[in-house]
Amino acid sequence: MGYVAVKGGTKAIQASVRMYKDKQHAAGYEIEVEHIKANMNQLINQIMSEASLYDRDLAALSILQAEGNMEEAVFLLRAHRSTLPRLHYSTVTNTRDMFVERRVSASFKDIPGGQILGASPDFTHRLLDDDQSFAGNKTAEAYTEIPHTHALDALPKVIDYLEQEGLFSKKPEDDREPDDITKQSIEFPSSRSERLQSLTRGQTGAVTSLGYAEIRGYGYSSHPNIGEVRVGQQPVHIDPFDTGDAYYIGDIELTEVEAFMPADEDDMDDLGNTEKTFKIGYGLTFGQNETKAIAMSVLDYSLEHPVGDAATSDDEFVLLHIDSVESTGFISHLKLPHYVTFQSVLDRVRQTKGEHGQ
Amino acid sequence: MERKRWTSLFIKYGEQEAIEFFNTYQSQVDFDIISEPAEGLTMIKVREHAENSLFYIGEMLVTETKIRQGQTVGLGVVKGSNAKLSEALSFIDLCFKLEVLLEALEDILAKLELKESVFIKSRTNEILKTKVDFDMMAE
Amino acid sequence: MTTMVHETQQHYRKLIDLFSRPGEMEAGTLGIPNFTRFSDAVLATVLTLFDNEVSFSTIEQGDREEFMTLTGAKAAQNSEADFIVVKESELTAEMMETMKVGTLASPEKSATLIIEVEAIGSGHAYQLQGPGIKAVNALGMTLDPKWMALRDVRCAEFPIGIDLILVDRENHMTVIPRTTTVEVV
Repeated sequence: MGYVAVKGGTKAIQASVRMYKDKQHAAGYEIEVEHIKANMNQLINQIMSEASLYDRDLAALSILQAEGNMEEAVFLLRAHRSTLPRLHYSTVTNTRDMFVERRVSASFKDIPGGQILGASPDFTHRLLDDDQSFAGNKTAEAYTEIPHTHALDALPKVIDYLEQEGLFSKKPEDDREPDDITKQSIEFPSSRSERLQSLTRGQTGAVTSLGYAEIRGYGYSSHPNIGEVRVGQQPVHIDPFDTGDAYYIGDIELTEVEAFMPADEDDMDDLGNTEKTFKIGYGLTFGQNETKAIAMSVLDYSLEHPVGDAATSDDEFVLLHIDSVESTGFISHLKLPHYVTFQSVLDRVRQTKGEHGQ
Repeated sequence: MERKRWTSLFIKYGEQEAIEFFNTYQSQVDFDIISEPAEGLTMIKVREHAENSLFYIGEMLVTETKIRQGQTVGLGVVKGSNAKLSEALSFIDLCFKLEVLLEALEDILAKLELKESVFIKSRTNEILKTKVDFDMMAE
Repeated sequence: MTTMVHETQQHYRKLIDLFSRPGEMEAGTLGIPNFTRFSDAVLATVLTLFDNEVSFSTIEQGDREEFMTLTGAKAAQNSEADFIVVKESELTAEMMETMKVGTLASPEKSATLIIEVEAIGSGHAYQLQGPGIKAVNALGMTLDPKWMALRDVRCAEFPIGIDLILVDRENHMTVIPRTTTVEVV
């Protein structure tokens, strides 16, 4: 049988699109983008992070259009991003300038500036509550000023404390221009900037799973200590005319994690003495995405300090499989027509059978 | 005032004030439009704190307007989709560069600084209510 | 209302047509004030092709700043630039010999030369052949054939090479891509 290219299905496809769109609009229960923006913060955070596009309005719109399907929403945002010109690059953004709204350390109780819990679901009962009321919970309290030693936009980092204790030595600033995986595909072995960019836009579940595997038993196989998780508003600046007189363009919410990994290898100091020190795994994501940021810090460590032939130490294995659009795109394309390629497989099978039969 | 500072005051605390300023004074300064407010992206470069190196965390949506008087360019860039504010900021930037209408601007900025200090104080206080007091726990 | 986007879109269309049909002519226009030493069609080409992802070189400081202001493109050395904007009188053999021609793996990493010449339509008689030309295209322009000889050297090893966008003082434009064989009659 010869292969014939076929076309068809136009009407069926149009009807399918109509059916899909009608289903979304059950009369009387329509919601607006504003509803999503107001009530689905954490979903927006995840989607912005995976899409690597920061805009709460566009993320909310993508959620509405995708009926809450994360992979679809991320796909929509990535597609939208590709229609826009990249006008600027920011100046170097440093999380030391973040206005901190939440900052905890799991390693030191008494950190300069204190443990600031901020807004987190960590301390809530995981019991379903059918009396959700987000609007009326605010009660007026008498204003009492709380004394503090550090402004929230100048909160010292826990790694500074670790350094003071002589347990960590800060590297000199490395100002090499980072690679950009949106312009040039990753080539292996990957660079550090490619790894971090790829990890921060990874699918939340994939990053978390691989991070878990790394510490549970396939690589580092040990318990990292979270030096610091901080969430807050990060100012972003541009300096398009290179004058040193930068423009502020807005705040973005970030989650930052520094995980302490007791190092197995010994470090040599200037005098030739060996000493045990800490290595740091680093995680930074758009929005409040704490689990992902922690898992990112674990994977940053595992790719920077590979152990044996653990899969989580293999940059190609980790980086090429955690991207939402790439993995869901490839998996879901399998359901699309492959009539010709499959026919050719069948032909080969039949041919082999025929040959054996003779 | 440093540009970093005034852009931050207008964007965070003075959107309405910036737009009003533009509406009031736009006829008093001659300018040509290089590009109307248009959406685009800014790639964010960050410093990580493990190896102290740089990487790109992702892009943010911005709206940009560019105007000019002769060789002097006014640039307005702001987070998100916000044509009006971007347009107003490009005008204010041009005014600062041409050194015109400075008194009017400084008046507005003084008010915005006040607004900022009130906001930061109350926001800080709100956040610090969630600060753990270990001494109390030991009692 | 026409904005710069409309204009550059139309200009882009013209450039595409010219790249597809080497040696033909189009007239370029521009609706914004021109503070550079170059003709309007050169500036329109710059506005159309430059953005903050590309680099360029040009000799005069004022022009350089104007291009950077309008497009966000970055200034670079001749040997690093994606585009070189130059008047014929400012061309040097060294510029032509050192500009980027790309590599066999990445021929797109080559430079495009935007040259302002005195006149297109008169001057030396050139004959063009190659993709996009049915038989032979005759092109008159004032560009000195010695520059074309240097260009031929850089385009000897297709797909690497350089592309030329030529514009005259009267805003006539023509394009000679790397695939075109050029002869002086």
